[in-house]
Amino acid sequence: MARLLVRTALANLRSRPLQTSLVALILAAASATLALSVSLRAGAADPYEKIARATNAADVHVVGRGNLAALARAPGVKAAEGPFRLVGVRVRSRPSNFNVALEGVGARPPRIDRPKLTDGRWLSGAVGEVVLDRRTARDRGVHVGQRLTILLPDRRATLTVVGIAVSAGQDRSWASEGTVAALPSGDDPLGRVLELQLADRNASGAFVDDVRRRYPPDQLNAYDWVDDRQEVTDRTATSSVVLGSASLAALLAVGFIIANAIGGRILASRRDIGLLKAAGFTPGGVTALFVVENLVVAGAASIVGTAVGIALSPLLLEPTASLLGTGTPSGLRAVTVAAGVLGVIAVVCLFTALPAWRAGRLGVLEAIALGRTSVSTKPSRAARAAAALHFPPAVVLGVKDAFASRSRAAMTIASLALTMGTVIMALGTEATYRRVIQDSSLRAKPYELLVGTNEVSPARTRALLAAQSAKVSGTATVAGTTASVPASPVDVWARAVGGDYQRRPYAVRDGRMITGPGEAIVGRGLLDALHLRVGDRLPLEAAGTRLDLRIVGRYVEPDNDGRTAIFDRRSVPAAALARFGPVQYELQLRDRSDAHAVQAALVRTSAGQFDVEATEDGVRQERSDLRPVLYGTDALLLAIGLVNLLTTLLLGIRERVRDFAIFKVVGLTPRQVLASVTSGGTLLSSVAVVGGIAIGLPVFHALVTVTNPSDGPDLVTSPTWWWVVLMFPGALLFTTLASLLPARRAAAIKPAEALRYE
Amino acid sequence: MEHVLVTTGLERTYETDGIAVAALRGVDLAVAEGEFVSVMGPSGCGKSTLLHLLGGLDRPTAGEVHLGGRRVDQLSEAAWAQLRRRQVGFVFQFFNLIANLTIADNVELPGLLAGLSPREARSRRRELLDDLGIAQLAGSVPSRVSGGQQQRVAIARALINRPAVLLADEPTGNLDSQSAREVLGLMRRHHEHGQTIVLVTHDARVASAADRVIHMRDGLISEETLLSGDRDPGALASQMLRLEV
Repeated sequence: MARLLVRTALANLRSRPLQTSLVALILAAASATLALSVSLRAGAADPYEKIARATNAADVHVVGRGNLAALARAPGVKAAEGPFRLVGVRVRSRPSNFNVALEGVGARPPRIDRPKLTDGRWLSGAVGEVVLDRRTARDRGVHVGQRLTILLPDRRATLTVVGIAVSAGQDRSWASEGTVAALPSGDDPLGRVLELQLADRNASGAFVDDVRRRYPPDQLNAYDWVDDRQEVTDRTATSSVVLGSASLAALLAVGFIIANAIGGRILASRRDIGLLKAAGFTPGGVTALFVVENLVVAGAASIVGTAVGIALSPLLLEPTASLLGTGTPSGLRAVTVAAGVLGVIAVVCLFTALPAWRAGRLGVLEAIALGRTSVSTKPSRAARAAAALHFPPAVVLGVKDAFASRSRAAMTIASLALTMGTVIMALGTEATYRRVIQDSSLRAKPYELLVGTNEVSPARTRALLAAQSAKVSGTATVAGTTASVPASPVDVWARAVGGDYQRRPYAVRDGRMITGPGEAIVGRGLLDALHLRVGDRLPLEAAGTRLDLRIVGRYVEPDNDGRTAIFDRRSVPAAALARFGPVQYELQLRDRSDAHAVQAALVRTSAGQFDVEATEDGVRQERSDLRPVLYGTDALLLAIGLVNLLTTLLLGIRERVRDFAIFKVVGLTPRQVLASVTSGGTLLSSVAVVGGIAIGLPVFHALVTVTNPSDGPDLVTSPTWWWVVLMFPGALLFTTLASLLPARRAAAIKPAEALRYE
Repeated sequence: MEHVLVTTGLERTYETDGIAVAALRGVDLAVAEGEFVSVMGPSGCGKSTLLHLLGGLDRPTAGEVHLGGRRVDQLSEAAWAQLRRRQVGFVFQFFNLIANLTIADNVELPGLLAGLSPREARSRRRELLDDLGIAQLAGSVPSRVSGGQQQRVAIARALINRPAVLLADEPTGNLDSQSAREVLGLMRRHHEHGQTIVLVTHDARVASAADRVIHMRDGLISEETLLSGDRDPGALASQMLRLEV
């Protein structure tokens, strides 16, 4: 029996080479997509855990100049590594110099918090080599082999980047102990770092509290893996959600495409099923035959497709890993192969067995008769509307034909709508980024340049800034510190502003901007955490003093989950203000396009002492990192949509060869047949565009809000209306492309041949 | 009498796996306006091929086809499609109605394609369906009505543009005897109103409905019989069968 099934299945496949090839192509595309989206999901999910596993992350990091050796033997410590010397160095760079924390390590990577190389090699032990952390390398455009000039107070040194790596802890880079010892002329200002793993990872909080209680912060400080995870999660939340939803959309699309191709094929074969039963096949035998037939195709196609997907996966995984700051996972993993091959085979079995079983239960004559009329015979509203609008008869027929098989039309629309929805989300992301780039107040940075002055004296700073006054319209100052709220566990990032902060205000959504001392504007996160409203009092303890502020407004704040407060520096006593962080200068430019020119001028005139950050650069970098993944997934979904539409139309035409022949008999010219098929495809796409927009917009708004509850609702921006309108001609072009082959096949049908074998 | 349909030296050869099979080997035929001609012959004699060539559904390998005095065998597919809309109506053995169109839509479609206004197409459809006794089925889909009714719908579809010639390929071959009689009666009635008809059949009884019967064998016309006005179906059928043998 098994031999008979296989022989019959192979004979069936050989007798329909085009259909077999098409189904194989679809299944290969589905496998490739599945492998890619599984890789993408694996690459995007839980970035901290991924880094932590890859680097054997520490549970607690202790930094300082105190007695670290004693802590390594503290109760609850399972393993310790270090202490390693930690120094801060300044690296010359364009447009602005940057700081790097360098950890002095051995020629072998540490066991705990072992950096995971993403490029190049580990240190050889020789002096003058550095392994840079991936985020710094990406942000500063540094690559392996590049030589970095280190600015020391008395001289300059050179370090060669031999590798790029990621780690779970705070951003830092690695050099040999000899290199680190040779760098600063004096002591090591950052101290040493000890990496600890505890017997109970969940006891890390208590351990950190204990260290903080026992040692003053200028001696020893500790932070744990929860802080690390928070930092990684904050940094990657938006990207993770975007990547996760894009890959989920791809997975759903794969389901639709298989259901469409295989299910549709079975439905189209009901006549054959009737004939098989007439020849003596049982319902079970019919089901088995179709399963075997499709498994032969699915087995071969899924292996090829998975291989293609794995080969293509670096195209999506590289930018994903760069974006998330994780190591690049390999596309060739058991889960990817299993998903690509077994996943597709399982779905094919399901979508083959169910309709084949149902069809197998039909009576012989019924099945044969249904084979002729397996299309919907219900009146089509769309066709009626097209007729009422006096569209040409060929178009009306196409509109009617588009819904000839309603379930297939629904699946095609769903798959295309999914694609269009993700296109809308990509356009929305672009629009949001564009808005955020254009209006820096939406990033709580209502200025173009932020200047850190380092060791430059206030007088010289003022003079250097004044030299750029022709291009600067206003200068505000900001100094920040962590503050607490009495009787509340909530930490607040407090910023005391001065100077021209009124000239270009923060993005205040409720209430108003501060106008003087005693007033504060706060982020949504703080209001929510403390259950406060605009108009309420905000008591703060900052830098050893008590501040009593009144909340006059809520502003858009993306950092620190919106748990922030901004107030006039005159609200703080001078002595306490001195204990805030260093004063930074916020420069508002007359013309935003001068940002990089002024940045370069300030770095040059301060002899590299100023750190000047252009506010647009970070968000531009984030956008350019997200783009390949976003548009890569869109391209993938568009390709799936194209294949799906192609399948629907081709299967429809295969089922209805006789109908097309009759169309020609009654007077449809080949061009009208072409128009008929294309208009059917256009209708399906148009419905999908409308559906995609209707679904995509609210989903995009919801995603941004969920990802970023603090400022998401204020930032989320819908795509510009003309982009949305442009989707219709785009869909038309897309449809025309997808319809071309099926329409040409339909137009080429020879009535005499099609009607001869009745 | 003027000839509406003329073929001279019509040949059609098919190539299957490199083997040439001659379906028609030089058919000369003239059908006068208003004439009812039956083409009879055993399976594979080339009668359906002849019908397809007359209606432009296939291209001859050699020979000529003239329709309404115009040579048409060299027309492009699109030009044939436009010609068919007004000049040729087809009726098939298996009805070949479009399954997802209502009966009304099926009948109106060629009219709309020929440029009738929707109102005019509707009016002609009503008239035809009334005449054929199936007006009440206009809103149904083909799968819901009987074979005989489907063939009547096919006839209505073929006649909506008042074609110069109606080509019927075994129109009763898939019908019970009662329905077959009704369909033949309808065709005769339309013939009496001046409709030119070429009917292909292997059934002598059906062929006897015509004015003239052409017998085909091996791709050639072997015999022609002019039938008298006295139509005793039994006698005519016997005559036909004798000729077939």
